[in-house]
Amino acid sequence: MPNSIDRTIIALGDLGKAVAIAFLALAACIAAPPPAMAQDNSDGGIRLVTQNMYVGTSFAPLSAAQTPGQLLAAVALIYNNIVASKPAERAAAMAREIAQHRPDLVALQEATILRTGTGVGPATTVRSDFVQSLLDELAGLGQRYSAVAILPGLDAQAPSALGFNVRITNQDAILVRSDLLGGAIKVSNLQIEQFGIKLSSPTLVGPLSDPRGWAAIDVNVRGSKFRFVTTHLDSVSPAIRIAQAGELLRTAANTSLPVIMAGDFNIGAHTSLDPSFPAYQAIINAGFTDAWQSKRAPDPGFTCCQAENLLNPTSLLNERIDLVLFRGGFGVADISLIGNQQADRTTSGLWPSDHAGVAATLRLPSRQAGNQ
Amino acid sequence: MSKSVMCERYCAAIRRWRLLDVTAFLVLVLLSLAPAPVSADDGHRLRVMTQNLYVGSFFQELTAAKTPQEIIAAATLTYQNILATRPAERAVVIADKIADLRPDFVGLEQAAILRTGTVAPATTVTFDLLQSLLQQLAARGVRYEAVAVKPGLDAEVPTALGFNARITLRDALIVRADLLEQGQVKLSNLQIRQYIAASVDTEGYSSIDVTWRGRQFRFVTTHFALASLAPAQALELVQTAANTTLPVVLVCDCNANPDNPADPIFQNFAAYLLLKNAGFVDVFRTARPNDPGFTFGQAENLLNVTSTMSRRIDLVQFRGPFTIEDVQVVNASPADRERLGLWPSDHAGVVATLTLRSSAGTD
Repeated sequence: MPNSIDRTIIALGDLGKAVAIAFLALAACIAAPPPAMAQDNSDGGIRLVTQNMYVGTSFAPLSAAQTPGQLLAAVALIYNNIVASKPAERAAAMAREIAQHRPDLVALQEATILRTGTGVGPATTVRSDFVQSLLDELAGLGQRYSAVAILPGLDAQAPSALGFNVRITNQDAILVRSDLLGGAIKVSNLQIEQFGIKLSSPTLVGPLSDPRGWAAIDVNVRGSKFRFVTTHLDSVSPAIRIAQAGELLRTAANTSLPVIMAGDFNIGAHTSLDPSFPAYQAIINAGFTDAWQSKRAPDPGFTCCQAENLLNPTSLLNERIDLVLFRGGFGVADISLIGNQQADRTTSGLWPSDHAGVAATLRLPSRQAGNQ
Repeated sequence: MSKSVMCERYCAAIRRWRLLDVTAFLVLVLLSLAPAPVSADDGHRLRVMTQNLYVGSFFQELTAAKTPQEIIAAATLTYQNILATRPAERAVVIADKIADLRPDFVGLEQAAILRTGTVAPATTVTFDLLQSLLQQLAARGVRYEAVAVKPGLDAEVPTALGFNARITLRDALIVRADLLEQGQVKLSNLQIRQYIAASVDTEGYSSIDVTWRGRQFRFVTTHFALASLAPAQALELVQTAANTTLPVVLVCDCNANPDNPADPIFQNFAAYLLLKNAGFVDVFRTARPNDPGFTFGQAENLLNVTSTMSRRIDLVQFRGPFTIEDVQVVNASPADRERLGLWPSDHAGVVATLTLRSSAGTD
């Protein structure tokens, strides 16, 4: 009987999809957007995107500041860098890239909030908010998504030479297509954890720690259940990165469910010369398949990094550190990079992020008996 | 003895019994017709709860330790004290209460994980209060889903036992799964934020917008710092999560005592005042002006024979067109102690039943 119930749900889901497709077709006739690549999750696959949105600055000036005056100037520089990187404009560009792929699941890293304030209180005037901007832009394209997981990361506030305080809040997030959430895609077992080992950088006003971690949901798509994990491993220290990858495997990936991990691993998967390559090897040894490697090798598939100001005329991507890894019966139907073409740059000439996104369609593991 | 005499003697008794039966039956019928005072499943009532699950230590020995040797000794003591509070069994008691009352939304504080390992990071889970609670609830046929988890303090310390102990504190927001699955509750605009002024516990809030039986409101859960940071945290909450035109339900371990501005331990009245001035209504005090409603606190080892509750710091508040149907303090009566005599937590829970008028004036 469970099977027949499943079939009913599937049938209803398909009806929903048919309606959605009809709407999409209608919208295409009216607005003539770029040809819809989206197949709308009816081909037995799961569509996903991972994208590091890029905060918009390096933090090197902070650590370099030696006097209070230099600190104020460094914070001002960081603030100006972020504003000059036009987060809202870039969020719109990333939304266009994501919308073309029409993913079921989106993993975001460096989905930063920039806030300002005066006085001694918390800075709460929002200058840019990547998650909110991206969701709004996607909704503007007729594609509504819901954030179902948010992992808070670094959250720091400091006075600047600009006369106000600057606050930078880092987040990773998982988005799910709203129209499928609770219907064709069921989400459960939200987990959000910070790693036990994290980078701590000395600054004039004391150590600044950069907590990283992972967020995971268990996803049920048409009777196939798997865990979807995103993470952003430390970007500075290979030793810390290796420890974090180890913890990731012993926590998020410690399940008998099939697992997809999509994120910014900061490990050069393209070269064993990367000092944190042992962490990549450990992930592979834990039974994971590198989706890009399995489908696209020897295409290097570089995902990082454009210039800090995102204004480099020619793409500078030369590392593959944004990865889609899976274990447990998935197949790679398709995998490609997004946001890495000249045409993807914003009207201001900015690359959407210093990272390319990775868009993949994975075939689901065949449904097991009893796996509802 | 003749049959008639027997009947004289007994039949009257039998008739009386029958009359009592009938009366009891009638009372039952009448009771079932009357509005159930505590039915969480009434379509118009919203039931919310806050419960600090208590990790099992106040950490005083750890914060007092100075030398590496002292830290190891203190960590060993803390680890053993935590285990002695039998967190998994306490989760069973709290699950019983939640399963009884079936609140729609529950804000949980100190939903801790204790882990051990020989090399940092320790990843062998000794207990996970959130997972234990969710599993216990599912076993009672009342499934809940975690929809927000906010990480807090995460500290790993060496012990004299040959391994490290890692203590991870978290706040969480859980929602009855049946409401999500049947579409009676739809969630959006998840925010999980830390306060910029925070202790090592990196206090913060989780906020989610709820469409509930055609009405919309925002549900926020937070855990303010014990120390002087709480007013800054309350200010940030007012300027962020509570900066909305939606009706708001706010549940907290506020570490602030609204009933005693001069409380020598919970000196966070200013934090409470900020919320009050932002328009929040303290549900318990409003509905039960003369009831102390203490929610804290039992002894650190939870073994005090008589309840030592003396303060009300766990609050349910709201702003907007809500009406209070009922509010109660739970997990604080002697009957709630688990079989070895432990209180379920050093905090009581607070369960409030509210109604929310539709903004459109219908329904």
